[in-house]
Amino acid sequence: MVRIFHFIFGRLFFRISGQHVERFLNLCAKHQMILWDLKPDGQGYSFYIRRSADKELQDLASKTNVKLQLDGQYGLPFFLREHRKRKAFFFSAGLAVLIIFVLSQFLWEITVSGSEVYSESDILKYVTANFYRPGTWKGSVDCDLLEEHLREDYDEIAWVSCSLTGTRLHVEIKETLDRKTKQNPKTPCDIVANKTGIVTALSVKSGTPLVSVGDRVKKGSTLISGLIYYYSDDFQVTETDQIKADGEITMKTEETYKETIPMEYYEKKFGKEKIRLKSIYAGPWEWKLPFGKEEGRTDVMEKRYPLKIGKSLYFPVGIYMRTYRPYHAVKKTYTDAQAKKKLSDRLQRYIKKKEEKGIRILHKEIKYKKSGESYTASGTITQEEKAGKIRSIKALTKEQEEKIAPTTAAP
Amino acid sequence: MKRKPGEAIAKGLSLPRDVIFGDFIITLTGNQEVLVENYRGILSYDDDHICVQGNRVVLKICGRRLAIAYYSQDAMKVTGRIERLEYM
Repeated sequence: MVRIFHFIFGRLFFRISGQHVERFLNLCAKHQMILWDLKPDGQGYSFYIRRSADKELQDLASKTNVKLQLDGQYGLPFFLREHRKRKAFFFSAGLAVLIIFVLSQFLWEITVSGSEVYSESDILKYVTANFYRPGTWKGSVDCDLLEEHLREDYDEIAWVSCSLTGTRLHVEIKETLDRKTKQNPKTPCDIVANKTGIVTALSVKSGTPLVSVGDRVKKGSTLISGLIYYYSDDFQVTETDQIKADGEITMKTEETYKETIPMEYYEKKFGKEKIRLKSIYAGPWEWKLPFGKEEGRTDVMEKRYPLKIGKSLYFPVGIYMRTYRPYHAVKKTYTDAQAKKKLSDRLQRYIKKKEEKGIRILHKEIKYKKSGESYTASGTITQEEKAGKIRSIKALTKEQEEKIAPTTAAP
Repeated sequence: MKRKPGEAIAKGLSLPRDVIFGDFIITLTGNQEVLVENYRGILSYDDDHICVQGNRVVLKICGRRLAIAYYSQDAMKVTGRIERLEYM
């Protein structure tokens, strides 16, 4: 930080020599002049000092009778003075700043994170096709609207947050609604079931619960409503209010599991990998670089590296890199035991992933079967998981209203 | 032994000695860096020693390739390979 200030305001490099050099140094300190990099240098010393101290330094030097010699001027003010005749340089520097400013007013990058059921490219395609493409003016981006549509159009998305920082639109998705998920919808909302199953636990923080433990609920039915009814003494609704429904619902659900692997497979033996620059792009234009044809079988991976400043200021310019991995394919066939092991490994991995997400597996019934040229594992998994997703408030049906109405049971 | 009134006050009220007597505060970081506060001025300065005048004593910093990273009225930072600190 100090170095940046020194650069901006400029500094001077002096050499001093003479009889009372120490006295001169002490006087400098007394006059609030800070010396840096004070080093002994032959007969005297050399040091740096701030640019504005020049005049005062001359006075002190004449007072103490030391020889003061200016040996260098560094920093931005001196740089500008030295290059003041280079009009084109300053013009292009100004232009660059202007271009960066103009480009930073548009959206150039859309990123998605947290999705597991849907692929990130799916969501990305949805956003670019229906809402905002790279190149949209930032002022016209409405994050709330995008969140609302994402929640409505994708069943598995329980919580979504869109944020615009720099020139990047980041879409963060959560597929389960648990206590840890920060629930910050800005408008009142309901919590609805995202799966069909039986409610096993229910804790409501705010809102009106419409189901109770043991109820069988269908996908899409409201679990906790954001509507609040106020009743008078004779059980008439006097007032309704809308709030953000919040709570935790655990449901027992059943899932069909099916996994098939072919009997014959190719094993790839990879060789040395090579990384090459493929093309340079700027907006919609792309300049392809010539590259030689690869011999034999090769895996090609392409990755885009956009130009960016910091974490979120992206620009519509960048490069594509290609990674080549040549391989030899060896044809192999599974034996029954190998195939079964492979399938059960996959199942274990699948279940482990679920458990990491906080889903409890209650029961699983999986059968392994050989059919023609492939092996199949199929069955059902019964599990207990946190369910629910956010939806904008819907009016209650008559049936639901009756359910939440207070009863006149005698004490 | 008769105590000086200043010392009695400093001890009685447990006031820091650097405030009452203007004693040196020396912060030594490894053998590469030393920060000296509460001094009056430099007496002499060379590649292998720096003498600093304090309020009552003189501090001599001995070492090799000594350089003053910054020097102001309140503090000075000496860098280099520090070998000894002596009071004279």
